[in-house]
Amino acid sequence: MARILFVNDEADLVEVSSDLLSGEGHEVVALTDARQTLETARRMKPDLLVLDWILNGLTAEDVVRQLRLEPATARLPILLISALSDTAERARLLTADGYLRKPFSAEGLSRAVAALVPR
Amino acid sequence: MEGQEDLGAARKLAALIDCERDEIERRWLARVRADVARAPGIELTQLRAGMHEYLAGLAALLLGPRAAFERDAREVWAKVAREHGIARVRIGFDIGQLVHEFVVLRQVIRAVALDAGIAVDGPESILADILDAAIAAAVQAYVDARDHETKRRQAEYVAFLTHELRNPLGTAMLTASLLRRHVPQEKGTLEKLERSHQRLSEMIDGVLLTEKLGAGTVESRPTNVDLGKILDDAVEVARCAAERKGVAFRMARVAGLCVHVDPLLTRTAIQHLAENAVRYAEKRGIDVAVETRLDDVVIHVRNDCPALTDDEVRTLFEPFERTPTPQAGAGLGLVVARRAIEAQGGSIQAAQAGTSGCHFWITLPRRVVASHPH
Repeated sequence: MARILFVNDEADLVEVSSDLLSGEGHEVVALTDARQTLETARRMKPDLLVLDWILNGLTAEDVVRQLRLEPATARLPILLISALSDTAERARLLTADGYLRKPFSAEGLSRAVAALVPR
Repeated sequence: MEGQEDLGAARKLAALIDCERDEIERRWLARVRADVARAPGIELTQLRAGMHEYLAGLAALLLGPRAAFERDAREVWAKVAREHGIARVRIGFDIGQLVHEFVVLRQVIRAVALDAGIAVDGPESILADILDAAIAAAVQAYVDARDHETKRRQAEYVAFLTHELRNPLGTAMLTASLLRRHVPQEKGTLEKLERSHQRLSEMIDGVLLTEKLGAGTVESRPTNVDLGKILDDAVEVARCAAERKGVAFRMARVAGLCVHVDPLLTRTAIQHLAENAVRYAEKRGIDVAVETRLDDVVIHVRNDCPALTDDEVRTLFEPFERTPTPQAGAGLGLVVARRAIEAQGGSIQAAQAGTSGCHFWITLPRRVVASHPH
């Protein structure tokens, strides 16, 4: 299955999501410190990055722009997660490949991930 | 004769104000700083902002004919006063401080004029007229700006709070739905938990949208859209809810009716009306119909709920007003519906329909804007 980098500063959400996605056969690397995202993505070369919109002092916009600038991560599929109500259009403009609004169910997360990872 | 004397005095005063602008500003600033602006954080430049231009405008008005003052004081000088009022909101003045600034200005001008041997007092003096008009304009602008700022801050706070609430709720919802997979024997219990989470989530969204619409931070973006398509999307959830409840949901198909509205706001409003109608419907169910008029389009939503009192009808669109029944929602759906329609220039009304049942109707302007090829 797919190698997924899951970045979110809500430790409980990270744990439950990792359990869910691992249970579906994915290999999940979870981060609660968003500052490690770029370095981990370069090293790990994941099939998908699941990224929260607001991350301890950073926003997804900062992280995605950096990733798109680097050849190694420019084409990395990104699923953005947001608890804000006005970020769907901003996510599209940011060239995110998928968007999931909080709160979401296990089925919602599974479907969004399945749509973006290689079969 | 008296009028000519007045004009002569006004011209002398104008010349004096023009010459002594620096002195008037210096004395005014010293008094204002001592009386009303002792709070730390207020910069001298913020206090002084616009005062020099203010005095120049005052001198120019005093030099002109009285008729010109009557016109200009309202149109030009009042604009300066309004900007002054808005600027004072930004640095945290209250209304008393704002009015006191003008009183001080009047006293300082009077003192400078007396030093120069010019009489400026008397209820009929032009100076008094001008300053009274300026106070009124500044206070009105201050009140408007303060109200707007209060609503904006409240909406900002609610946006922050709802974001913070959605995070733990998100984890709770995800955990419950995952448990439903792992513990199938508890499916019924966990579905109840998920429904409660869903309701909380809808309530959070409702509060946020109500506040944003109330603060005017949601912009209406009208476009030419097919009303039939909006209606079909908007009633989808209500139709399913009616089916679960075992009541009929009737809506005549609307084809080829193009309207110029904000699709998201219109869909939101119809959705809330339809869901509200299903919540309280009894045996006869719900009817949704569209009526086209020359200039308007009217969307009617009717149900056969138990009779409402006049008071209940009057407060239907007020926040957190709900009939004391087990079906009652959060009390925000109709508020959101009203604000979503009013934000785009439409109206929404409700009335008791006969001895039982309720009739809601949304009226939207029917205009369609011609699209231009790019």
